[in-house]
Amino acid sequence: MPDGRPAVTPLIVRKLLVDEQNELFDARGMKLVEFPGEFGRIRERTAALLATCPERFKEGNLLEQQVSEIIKNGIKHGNRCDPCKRIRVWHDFRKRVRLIVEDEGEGFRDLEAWNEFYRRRQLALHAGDFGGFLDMASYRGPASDETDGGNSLIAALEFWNGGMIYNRKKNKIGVVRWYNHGSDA
Amino acid sequence: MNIIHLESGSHPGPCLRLEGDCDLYSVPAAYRALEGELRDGGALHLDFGAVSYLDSCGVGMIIRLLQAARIMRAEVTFSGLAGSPRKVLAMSNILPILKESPCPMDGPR
Repeated sequence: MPDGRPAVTPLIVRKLLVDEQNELFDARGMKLVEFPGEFGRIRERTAALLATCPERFKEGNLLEQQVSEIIKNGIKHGNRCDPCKRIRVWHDFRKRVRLIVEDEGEGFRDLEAWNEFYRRRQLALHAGDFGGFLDMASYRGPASDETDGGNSLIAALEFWNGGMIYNRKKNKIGVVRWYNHGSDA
Repeated sequence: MNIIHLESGSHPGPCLRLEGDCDLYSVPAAYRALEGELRDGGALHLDFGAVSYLDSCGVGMIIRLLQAARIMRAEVTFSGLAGSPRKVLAMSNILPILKESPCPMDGPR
């Protein structure tokens, strides 16, 4: 951006979706791990979860980063960092990476507000409105603090290319990432 | 995460190299340190060449720095954004608003 303004980018607006009956919540054949929601152990839990994941799916540490964001959302925003509440993760690393993550919280109440935030953010980016985009670059909800980047869901919608769906209560999320370099079927 | 002060050379403000993981545990302290380097009308260069892990908190830190810099009419430039940190920034749609320039320490001396 030589003149200080971002280049015009294609308008891409994605949405967080709710679909209780989606096949992404079919946990048959998936392995389950369960652990307390301790904020200080998010990355450790993520690394342990991915210990059996084939290297070719890890993309450096990109997969770890994306899984860590989901677990963090469950622990922090779902379980409110209450270590007595648990996180359940169903996972399947055959052919692709597929996860279902459930917390014991009240659900993502701000989902529609987040969708509207994202729509306005993308419109500002598309219009080259640098100031407007920068103001809206991070989502700040009622419970946001300095450990919330406010952009994890934006990257997640891009990363989970096979789908990213919430259940009706919005305390459970199903995600899939497909790869185009073969499978271990 | 470590923050190393580099010799600024011809750069008109501080040049800092970030090292390690830029994650939810390190970002709160790192942000306070970096924000303290911003000056009204000044310039700040951040080299991410030694950052191997960047999560949404790290992305948020960059956004907050840019927001603070705009208020102060300061300029923040970046170098060394590569690998998975760069992919995270791209997926977050943040790359278009970052001004990248070579690290002043990497040029002729």
